[in-house]
This record gives sequence, C-alpha cells and structure tokens, in this order.
Amino acid sequence: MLKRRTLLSSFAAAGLLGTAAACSPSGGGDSGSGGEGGGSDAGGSSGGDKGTLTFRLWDENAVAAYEESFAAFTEQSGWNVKIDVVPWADYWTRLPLDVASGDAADVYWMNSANYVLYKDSGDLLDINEVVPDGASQWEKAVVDLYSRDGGLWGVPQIWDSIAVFYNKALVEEARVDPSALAFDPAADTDSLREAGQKLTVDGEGRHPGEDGFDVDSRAQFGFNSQADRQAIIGPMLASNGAQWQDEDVYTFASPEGIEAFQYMADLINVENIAPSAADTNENGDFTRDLFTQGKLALFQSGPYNLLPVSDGVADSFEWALAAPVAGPDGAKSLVHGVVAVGNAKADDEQQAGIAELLTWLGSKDGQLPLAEQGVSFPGHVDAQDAYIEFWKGKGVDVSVFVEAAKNPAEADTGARANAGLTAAMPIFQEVFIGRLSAADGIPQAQEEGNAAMAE
Amino acid sequence: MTAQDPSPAGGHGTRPADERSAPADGGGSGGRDHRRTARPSGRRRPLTGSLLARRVLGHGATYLVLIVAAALTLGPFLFSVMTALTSTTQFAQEGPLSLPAPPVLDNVIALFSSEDGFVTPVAVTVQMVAVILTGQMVFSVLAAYAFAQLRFPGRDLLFWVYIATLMVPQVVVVVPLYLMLSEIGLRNTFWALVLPFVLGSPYAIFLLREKFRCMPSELMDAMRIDGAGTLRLLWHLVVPLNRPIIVTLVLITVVTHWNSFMWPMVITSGPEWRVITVATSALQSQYNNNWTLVMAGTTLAMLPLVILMIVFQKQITRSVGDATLR
Repeated sequence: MLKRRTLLSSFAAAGLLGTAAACSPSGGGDSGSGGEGGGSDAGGSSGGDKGTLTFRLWDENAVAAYEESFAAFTEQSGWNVKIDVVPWADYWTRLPLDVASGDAADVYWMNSANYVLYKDSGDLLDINEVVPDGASQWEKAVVDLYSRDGGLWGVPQIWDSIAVFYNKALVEEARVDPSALAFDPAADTDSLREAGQKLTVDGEGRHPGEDGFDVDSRAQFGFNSQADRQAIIGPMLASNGAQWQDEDVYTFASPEGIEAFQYMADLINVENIAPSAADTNENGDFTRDLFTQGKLALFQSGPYNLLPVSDGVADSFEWALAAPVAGPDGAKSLVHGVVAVGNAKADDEQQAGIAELLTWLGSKDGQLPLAEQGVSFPGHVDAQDAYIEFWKGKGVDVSVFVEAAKNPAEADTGARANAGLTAAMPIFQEVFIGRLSAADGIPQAQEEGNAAMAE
Repeated sequence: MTAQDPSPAGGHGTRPADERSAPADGGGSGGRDHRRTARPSGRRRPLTGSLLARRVLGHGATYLVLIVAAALTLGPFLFSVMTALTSTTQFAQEGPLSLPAPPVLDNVIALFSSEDGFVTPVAVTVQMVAVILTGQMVFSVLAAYAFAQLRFPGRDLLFWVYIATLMVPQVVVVVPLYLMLSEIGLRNTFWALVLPFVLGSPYAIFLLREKFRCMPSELMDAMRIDGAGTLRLLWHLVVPLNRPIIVTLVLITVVTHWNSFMWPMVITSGPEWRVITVATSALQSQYNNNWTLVMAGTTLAMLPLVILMIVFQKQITRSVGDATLR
C-alpha cells in the first residue's frame, strides 16, 4: 500500500522535474515551458510579418555585424532572420546531416572547398538567376572562384588574400626592406633569403652562415615558411609558375612546383631562417604566436589574423603590412572567399524571402556592417573602403590585401577538394621536415591526392 | 552480514612478546627471522642498519613514483587553470608556459558576458544530467533486480544480448538515431538529448545485477513474509544494502554525461540547447584557437565534478574496497 505521503511526494518530485527539465534560459523555443518574451533569441531580427528565415554561419565575430545588417533588412522587407552559429569545427559535419534531413538553413555560409558537392546535388540556388546584376558589383576573384558550369553559386560575403606582416623594429634594425622581398629558387640567393639571414639570430647573436651558428638556440626567426596551404604553399607555388590544379585534378608536381616546394623546405632546413617544421606542422598558431611575442620578423598570412595579432601584440611593438613575397612570376596571393548560398530545397513559401535576403546580402548596405566592424573584406567592391578605414583607425594600412587580390592564384575547389588536401598534406609535412625530398615527395602527394579525390 | 575479523593472520596476540622475542640488539643483518607468527603491536625492535636503509629506500621509491604519477596526472589540470587565469595579451606575448602575472578573471567574465555566454550551457547540462541520472538509476535498479532475482523464460539470454550492445560503439549508432529523432521532429530539443540514455545503461545493469545476485535471500524472504511488495522490497532493502555501488554508479553516470560531446553536438544546433562541452568547442574559431577562453571553459566545466569527487571521496574509496573484498 503506498502511503498518501509517498504518493504525493513522488508526484511533486516528478512535477518539479518535468517543469525544471526542458527549460532553456536562452529563450524558450519549441519545447520551453511557457515562452519567455521573444526577444532573447540566438540573435537575428524580429518584428517582421512575412515569416522567418534562418541564416547559418561559422564565425562568432561576424554575428554582431549581421545582426545590424538584418535589422535594416527586416525593416525594409518584413522578413525576420534568425542567426544560427555553428562553430567551424562542427560546421562541415553538421551541414550534410542537416541537408539530408531537410533541415538546412535557408541561407548559409559556404566556402570554395565544399560548394561543388552541394551544387552537384542541386542544393544551391544559381545566384545569376536570383540576383541578376550582382556579379559585377562583387570582388572579381571571388566571383570567378564560385562560377562553375555557367552559373554563380553564392553571394560573396567576405574574402581574404595574403600579405606579409612585419615587425618594424626588427626590420629597421636589420636594414631590410619588407616591400621588396622576392625569391627565385633557381638563383644562388635572393632578397628573401638575404633578409631572412639578417633577421634570424641565435642565442649568441649570430646569423645563419656565420661560424658557430647554433640552429637549436635560435631566439629570433626571419620568415614563416611552413606547410600552410593558404598562406605559404599556395602563393609561393603560383608565384613560381606552378599550377595547383587543373579541372579538379592536382597538377602541382610540375618541375616548377617541385622546385618551389624544395625552396620552401630549404628555407627551414638549409637556410635556417624559418622555425622547424616539427613545431609548425603540429601547431597552426605557432608562427603567429612567435610573431606576437616579437620573435618572428616576417609573417606571411591573411586578414583573418589581423585581429589576433592586433590584440596579441597590443602596444609591445609596432608592426605593418607589405605585399606577399614575389616569385619569378610575380607576387601572387591566394584569394579565399566565403559566400552566402541559398537553399534550393527549402519550402516554396520561403523562396521569396530567400531571394530577397540574398539580394540584400549582396548589396553594399547589407555588407557595410561587416566592413565597419572589422570582420573581413566585404565582397562588395564599394564597401571595402569601410574596412580599410576601420584598420586605419587602429594604425594599420590594409590596402595591401586589396592589391594582392588583383593577382590571385586559385583556391581549392572541386567536388572532393577536402579529401584531396587531407591525403596530400601529411606528405607535404614530411617534405617540410626534410625527411622526403621534394622530388620524391611531391609527385607522391599529387598521386595520393588525386586518388582520394577520384573515389 | 558478519563483519570480517580485521586482525592479522594468526591472531595469536595474547602471548606476551617477551617470550618469543629475539635478542634486542642489532641482529637484523640477514639474521634468522624465523617468526612464525606476526608480532602484535607491542614492543618493537628498533630498526637499525640495513633494515632501516631498506625501509627508507622503499619509502623513498614509493614516494618518488607517486609524485611523478601525480605530476603527470595533475599537470594538465594545472595548465588549464593557469591558462584560464592568464590574460590573452600576456598569453600571446609570452607564450603558454608563462605564469599569469597578474592572474586575471577576464576570461571567465568574457565567457559569461557575451550574448551566447555560458549560463545556458551550464543550465542545460545540469538539467540533462539530472534527468538522465534519475532515469538511469531508477530503471537500472529495476532491471537489475529483475535479471537477478526474478525468474522468467529467456531471462539470461535477454541479459547477455543486452550486455552485448555495449560492444557497439556510439559512433555507429549516431546516424540512425539522428535520422529517427529528426523524423519524429525531436531534433534540437531537450528530449532528444536525454531520450537515448534515460531508460537505463547496460554497464549499470551489469554491475547492479552482480551485486543483487549476492544478496542474502533470508532478508528478502523475511520481508516478504511480513507482507512487503516488490517495490517496497526494492526501496527499503535492496537499495540501502547496495548503497556503495549505487553511489559509484551515480558518480560514473554524472561524470560520463557531464562530459558527453558527440551526441549533444550532433543532435542540437544553436545556442538554445548547447551543453558545456559543445559550448567550449564553439569557442574555437576557424583561424584562432582562443586558448585562454577555451581553458576558462574547461576549468569551469571541471569544477563541479571536482567538488563532487571531494564530497563523495569516502564513498568512492569505500566502494572500491568493497568491490575487491569479494
């Protein structure tokens, strides 16, 4: 016989548990108990009457800018927009799951390495049809990157290119001119190697090439040659005249490509002006941390590192930007762009809103908050000055990136670009460590990459 | 249950030590130690010579091993706390091994003050763990009792098939489970976080069944004669008798589900139902690992578990000893 007291107390407990459970402080959603006032959502805009669109991205830093942009959009069009942030590490695992279950966002961020897969399965809207005159207003390098089979598959949102960050004090002390850095693998020496030698110092103050130079006690480095596809490998390969891929097949194992890889590895192992690949292979932030600690003089990277470097360096030393190192074929930069794609498989009622949102996202007003808040270079050509102004306010001239984007090398693209790079990268790392020569390793990497992409 | 007599083997402690003692001078160097019975703690022979050296060395070696092991185990946690208290600028300028000078709470404040702060993940995780814990304990006790004490056809086969599911790794199950829950429309809800686990855990049922099988049947018969039903039997006899193992299972369940990452990451999206582990990984962006923030997040995530362990320390050691005394 259950006593009444036990019955009552167990009911009370169950009730308490039931109401306490399924109650998220961050705005009651579908399963919240009693909706708390609607404003405290994941962010986005509300107040419109036509319905709600979902927008997904991976960068937390861009959310505030998009909220500002969407507030104006909702006022103008009546569509609400809900922002969904999925962190970069999980973005590419979640997206196929959500697309498969039919639950993908209406408009979401996409990058060049992944879009071909979704375009081929018909998940993306052709922007040329949705925003007819858009392509001419957007950064050409990015438009070309996302044009395929006669269509344009995303609205450029942000893009980045490559330039050299340099430590003013170190560079002046060594009397190096950072704007005139050039390399030539075929020559005996070049301005990059000479600059690197002057800028690399070991514990006793000796430079590479001097008697008694101790590689293991280096206190300061010249240049960040490392197995970084975007900042080093891509630009230097293209600057030497090699081509990364042709029609979705890797072609970097040409004589120029092998020469370029051997040069990059020699900068580490023979010239000793770059930190050991054993460190840089494992830790992507290693050279950036060296730069912010004042131990690396020339750091070739993209605008995505502007904020971390600026915050990390704070006032400890002055730094500025210069053009990427130029090779025999000129100073080529890798241009990556992020686009907003439209979900072709969303419900028909949403499609009108999607079209409007894409148009807004491609307009200057829609992208201005991204530039003004310093997220990255906006895709719209007219909005770029706002970004340059933002960094001028912090004392850094970032117009170098715009110049660099005028002469781009092609970024990874193709239906299985990720698989290919994942297969080739370990072999690149071996070449950089010096365990494999480029002549042996690079053709192998090309083969393995192509095999992975062909599956 | 009779208590075991904890006295040393032999227990002939009544005869005075004098009658059997060897001469009290330093006869320890390899002398004949024909002591057939252990000496009770009466008068001890003073340790001298190599016996003393051996004991010091032995203790020293033990302490050395323990200190090294402690350093290796505690090192990462100390790192985590140290980095959490280091300001981002100092971390960028002086590297990860620098002691925080001065230690700042900026990272912790940043975690809680941003719009998608840590308040929601903490609340969601606590609720999730509470519901899963209650459900798993209740249903595991019921199931283990059934498998141990009740008789029905196919009982043992069913038990071993159920235990065999432990062999299936979570990764394999994630995709079908995800599709099933999406079809029902439970994607990104609290119940999706909880449902796959709340109805019992094979590990808990296995452990509990072993304990329940060894319960003395006289006690249960006595209660039944007095008119107790099964539920009363469970609540008033079985659970109190097996308190140590149940406390252990509670702790294991709390720790496992507090730290679970893959399932919550797959089934939830957006900040509404994010758990602490997913929120911490969300702190890392595409180009920046944000170590100071991430370490603040992991330290915060660790703290409740550490407190739990300290509070239940006695029960844990007791239950470990209990399990080995069989």
